[in-house]
Amino acid sequence: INALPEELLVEVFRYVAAPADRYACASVCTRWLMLQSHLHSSEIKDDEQELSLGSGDELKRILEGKRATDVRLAVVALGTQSRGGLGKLIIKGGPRQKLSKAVSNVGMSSVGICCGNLKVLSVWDCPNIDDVGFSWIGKGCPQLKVLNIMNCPGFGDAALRAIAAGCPLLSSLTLDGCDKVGDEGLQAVGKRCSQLSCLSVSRCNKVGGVGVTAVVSSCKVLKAMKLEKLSINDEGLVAVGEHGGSLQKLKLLQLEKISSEGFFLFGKSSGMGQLKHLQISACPGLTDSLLDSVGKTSKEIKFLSLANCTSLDESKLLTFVKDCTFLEGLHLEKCAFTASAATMTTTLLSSGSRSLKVLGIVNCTGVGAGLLASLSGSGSSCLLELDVSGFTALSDESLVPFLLASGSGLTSLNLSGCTRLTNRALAAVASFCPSLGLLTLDGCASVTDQGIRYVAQGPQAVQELSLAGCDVTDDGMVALVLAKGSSLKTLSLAGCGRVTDRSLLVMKTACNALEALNVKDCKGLSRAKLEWFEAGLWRCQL
Amino acid sequence: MVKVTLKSAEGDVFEVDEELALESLMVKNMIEDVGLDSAISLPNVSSTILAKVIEYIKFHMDAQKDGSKKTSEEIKAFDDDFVNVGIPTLFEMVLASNYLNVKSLLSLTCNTVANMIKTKPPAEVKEMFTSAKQAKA
Repeated sequence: INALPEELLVEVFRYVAAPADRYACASVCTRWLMLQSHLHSSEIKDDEQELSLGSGDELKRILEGKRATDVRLAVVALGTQSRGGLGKLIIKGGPRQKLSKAVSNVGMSSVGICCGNLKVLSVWDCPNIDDVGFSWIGKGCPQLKVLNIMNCPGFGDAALRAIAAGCPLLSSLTLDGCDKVGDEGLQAVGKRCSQLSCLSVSRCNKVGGVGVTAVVSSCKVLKAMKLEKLSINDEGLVAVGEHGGSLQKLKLLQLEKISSEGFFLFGKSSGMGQLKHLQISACPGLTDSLLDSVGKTSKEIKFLSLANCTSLDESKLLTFVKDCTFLEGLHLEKCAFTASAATMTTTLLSSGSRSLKVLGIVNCTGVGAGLLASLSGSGSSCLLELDVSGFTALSDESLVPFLLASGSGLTSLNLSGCTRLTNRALAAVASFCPSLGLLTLDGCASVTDQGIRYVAQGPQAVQELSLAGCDVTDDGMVALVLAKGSSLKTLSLAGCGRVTDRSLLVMKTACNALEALNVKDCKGLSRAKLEWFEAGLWRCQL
Repeated sequence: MVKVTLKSAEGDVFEVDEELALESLMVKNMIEDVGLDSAISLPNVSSTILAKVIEYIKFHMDAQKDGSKKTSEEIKAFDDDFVNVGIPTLFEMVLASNYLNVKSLLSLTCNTVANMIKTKPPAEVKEMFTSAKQAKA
């Protein structure tokens, strides 16, 4: 039959209407499959029965790695058509895949032609698909609600325009690593996709303020936005601040073109009354000038996260906290305090921020030993999570009184890299933090078996425990495992060279809830025993 | 009645009424281009197939004429009988009707092939058509 040219085969196929028959045709050979999968149902002369697109459960398909090929995609597109239509499709290419076999425009167009009910589409690492292929989605998938495109260098403005025009229901759009997308594509999205509530644009060099502003100002239900590594400048950011009236959650990451002045004006802009969650990280222009203004205008803010802030003045942070009475979470990472944070924190917590539930002060310079001492004075007992990793100045003397005062509600405590802490601190943890579920002690080299015994007697429900780099031996481990083995879900012993096979033997019988174990660089453990142990575990990192 | 001369791949000459020849859009275009003086050569169509195509057109033209006593059952019987040929011949007719651009015959033949495919498992379809290919070769 391959003597017939393709257009005549298609002519024949137009008379084969029943889905089961179409699928059978597609199974004959690859050529037939490709022809069938590119034949739109409206072209079929169907005089027997209406092609019923059933409303049953929506189908979901994931094509990953080697299975992510045009042929496979065509089979999926065609096969699911007869069974209610594909609702969710995820295509993950990968570095291990041969480029020549990866999904291309051919496969993508079969999706556009056959999957009229598609609602969720994710395409990762598919360099062979370009605008032509993606445009088929715009033509054939009017129901699309969620679109995620990651590392697809071929995805450009033309594709985004086509999708914006054809998918008016789009509510969530994620673009990551799409170098060809620019402002023009986003403007089209702003114009057509009035339902958009979530926008995430990362690592798209050509996207600047114009495109982002277009989306922010015309999508009235936009609630969450993430901007990472774009070429947006001060003007763009200020425009976001002015028009983003519906925004509740905003993340700004690695935006290198925004200056300190830009952040100040952004905070000052009056448009963002709904903002509850603000995270700014790795933006070289970030200074405390933002705090001057943002606290005054966005009083609803509940969570603030600043990372890599080059200068952070205590009084400004304090004013901010005073202004935002609803603040529940504060996370400061790698920030450089310009004055001793000790005095600041005293006032910070005593001056109204009683609602603070999550506090993180991670790897900040300029943090004094008095910080927690001052915290304890404030009696903020509603604190649920505390992360002070990298707080090298923290000593037992300041942690113990703090835990006594505020530890009762803590569920998560991260003390990584607090090298001055000793077993005494753990005794306090054990006595004052009854509801603790997560405890991280990475790199607390002064913690020994005695400290571990305290933990063993302490919090009822410790599920995650990290002891990486602690000076622990079998004795401590056995005590811990016998007491807490049944509740532990993840355990890290990385770099605990003095733990031997003996601990494994006890763990095998006692740790029946364990899901993950990290035994990197544990020289005391033998490979044979680990393999024996691994047999009963979900996952085991060696 | 003006006659048109059609020449098959083997060089056989078929003389038909102009009215009949015009049913083929391809021949119609050629007549418009070169006129009726010379024979129209159809190098892609064999004599057997051309004869069958002419037979088909003739029957249907007669059936459509006023005063025709043929019922739709009779027409259907003719069509069914007409395409009741081996697969190689059927394919040649698909090709010829496409080449000559005779819409109704193309629909009929394609539909016939489609009916052969329908409700058959893929392996059977494959076998059916590969054997047809071999037989042709």
